[in-house]
Amino acid sequence: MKVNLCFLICVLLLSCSSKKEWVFSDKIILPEDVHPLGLTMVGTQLWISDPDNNRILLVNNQGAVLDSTSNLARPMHITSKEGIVYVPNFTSDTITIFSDKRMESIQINESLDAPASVAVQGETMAIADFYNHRVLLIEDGNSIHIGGEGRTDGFLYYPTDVALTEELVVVADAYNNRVQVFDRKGQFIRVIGWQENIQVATGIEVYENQILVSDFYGGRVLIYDFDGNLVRTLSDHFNKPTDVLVAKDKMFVANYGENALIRLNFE
Amino acid sequence: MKNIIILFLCLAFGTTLQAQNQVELTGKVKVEVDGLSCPFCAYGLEKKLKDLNGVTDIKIDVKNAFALLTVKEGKILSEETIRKKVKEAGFTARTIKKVIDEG
Repeated sequence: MKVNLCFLICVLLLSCSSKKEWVFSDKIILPEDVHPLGLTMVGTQLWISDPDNNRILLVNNQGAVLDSTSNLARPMHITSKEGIVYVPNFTSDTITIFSDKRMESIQINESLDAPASVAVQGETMAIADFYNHRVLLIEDGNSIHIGGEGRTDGFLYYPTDVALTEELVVVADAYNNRVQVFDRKGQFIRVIGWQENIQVATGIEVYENQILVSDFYGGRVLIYDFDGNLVRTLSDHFNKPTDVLVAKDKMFVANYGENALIRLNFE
Repeated sequence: MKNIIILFLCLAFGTTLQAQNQVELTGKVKVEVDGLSCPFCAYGLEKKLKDLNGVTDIKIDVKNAFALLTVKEGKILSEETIRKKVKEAGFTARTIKKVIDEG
């Protein structure tokens, strides 16, 4: 009896002290013609962008399509806020918002050239402006330009994704093979990922105090802390990953290289 | 005399190079491009080629790394113009050739 009690206490202590980590759950198979690129969660509903077919799709846990919106122009990294989905149209240089089956374009007082991503936080919108090699930070009609074409710190080379926190702007600096972090005034803070030889950083997710990066050609997801220290590398099951999304202890990764999403659990 | 021959050869060589760049294309045109496997690259190329006056349709084949343009009847594009647009998209065109319909 005493031994059993000790054993139980040990197990309990061990389970309390063991660190939670991301564990592969399953592969969500989408319809055959879908190549997912961007991901966003609206409430508990998962939306994906499907640029090959100029549409966004609402899918269920098994990958079945519940709803879709077409007539977009190569929608890339989507985001959402308060039930509204924001869609950057890569080939028409516009940002579309979508809610309750209504779609409209929003006015941007800047000349975009291939918007690859849009992020929204509070009243601020950030746009990764791919061919202008910059990120636009727009608030109250005023904009800050971050980056500009270049290879050195603070400059960008074909940015494909952007994420916002209250203090930071995190950019997937795709063809500089790295991630860059700026403050909300656009001042350069640090480079992340150069030690890991990221091949093309296509997608960014900021979750709690971590930055998650999808490495398209590297076929992996890298997890960093805000200081740029590598926390973990996930490399199984990915096929040309373009985006990462974390919601309620679940991670979703868009496998652009096939018609699938990868789901991981934090356990 | 020697100088005249050299001058003649230079002129002839220069003209040939220029002629190569001024190949005129119409109908269906296949543009082979290296490094086209990421969606941002592929649709970036599509976006830039769409700007070409007279192009009515573009199909991007990511797997085989080429773009297939349809040039409006009566419109002619030079190889140089297409190369410039491909470069603007961040690539170098490997080959540009007219596709002969076999139908």
